[in-house]
Amino acid sequence: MTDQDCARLHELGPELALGVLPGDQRALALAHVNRCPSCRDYLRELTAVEDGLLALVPAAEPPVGFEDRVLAGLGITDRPAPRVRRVRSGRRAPRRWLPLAVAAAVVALVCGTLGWMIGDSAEHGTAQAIPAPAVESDLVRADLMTADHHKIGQVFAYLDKDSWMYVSVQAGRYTGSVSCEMTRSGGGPVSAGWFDLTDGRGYWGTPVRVPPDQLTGISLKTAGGTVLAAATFPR
Amino acid sequence: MRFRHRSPAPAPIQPAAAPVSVDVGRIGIPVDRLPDETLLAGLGTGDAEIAVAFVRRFQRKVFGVAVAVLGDPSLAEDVAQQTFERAWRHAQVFDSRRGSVQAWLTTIAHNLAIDVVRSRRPTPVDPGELGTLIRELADTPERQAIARESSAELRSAIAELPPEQARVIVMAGIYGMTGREIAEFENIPLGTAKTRIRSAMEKLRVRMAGRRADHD
Repeated sequence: MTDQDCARLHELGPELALGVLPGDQRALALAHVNRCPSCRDYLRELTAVEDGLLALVPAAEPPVGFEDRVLAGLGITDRPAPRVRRVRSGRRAPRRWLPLAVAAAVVALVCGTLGWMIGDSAEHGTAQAIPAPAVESDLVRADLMTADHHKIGQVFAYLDKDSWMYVSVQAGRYTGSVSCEMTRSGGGPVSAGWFDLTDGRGYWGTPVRVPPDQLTGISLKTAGGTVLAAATFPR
Repeated sequence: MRFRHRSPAPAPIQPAAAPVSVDVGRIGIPVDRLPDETLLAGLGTGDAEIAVAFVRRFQRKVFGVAVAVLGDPSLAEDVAQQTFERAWRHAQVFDSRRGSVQAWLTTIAHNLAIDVVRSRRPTPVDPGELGTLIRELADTPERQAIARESSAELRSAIAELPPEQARVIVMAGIYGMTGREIAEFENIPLGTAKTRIRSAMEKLRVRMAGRRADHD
């Protein structure tokens, strides 16, 4: 890497970030960026400008029927009936209330997001076929909190006869494996498996390995055993 | 494929020995209040309710980018539809470390629209449309009732650019015109077009980097 290479990247960087640099020059510029952290940071700032420009472009109402055409293009022809939603508190809500679609989202987050799942291993959660929920059931949520009250993510738990849990971590800079333990009433924690965080971010789903009515929360621990964060589900 | 880098992650959270969790209440979560990333992840399930919520949340922004580039609502609708189809197919590879779901979608829409333009375009852009878009990008915060601070900063920076630099930024950044196409359109040497792009981007970069530093 030479100063000349960096100077060249500073010349080409704006067009590269805007996506209008010719192919041969683009390849050379990207090759340098891959080797030079300083130029990578510089390009990151330029790309933020391009992203900012696109964010400023005014929104516009699409033509009538656009939504239906998009859904048809996705193979979705049965539109959901409008639902009346209400916020519950205290007691477990009637099963007829809970939005099936939200539970399906939890399922999808495990089934569909294979790129985020850890591969098969004895120490990591495994991607398993997840049955679609047959009836509407409770989806609960809790914030993942550190000891100093920073929220670093959320946990969604879908509690039914085939219960699943989805963990989303989106804060901090921790990189490494974290273990997930399910805490339960009337017993010790149960290990749920491991997943990786990169720069504080990671997503993971797993079956709930304790009876749903015993699940009280989860804790995430680093490889060294330090508790990174924990969540408690409401009783 | 457009090259992207994203801003660094925020300050590290320090783990501690005795974390405290917070009960949030046993509430149901309306689909339309799910986080963007969760909605995107659920898009691939085929569930109609999630798909409707996803499309409704982002359709105006996606269509807005497409129609700004193409100027043709019919073409823009095709591009917008393709954008959602791509999002549906590639939802699992979305990486939130690289930016927001909206930024990802608008980039897809922008790339698709540029591809259409480059395959069709004898005339890069209507000068009238160019002027209109520049004014909209540089619109003052006073008219943006709930403008985000970062957007306001960039708008202000664009408004302060010399007109010729604002033009090239829009031509390149929004319409996807290369330096050579800008030079031909503006009837200026290629070197001048590239210099204007560099100068404008550097000013905008410094303004945005300075704003981020103020908030770190």
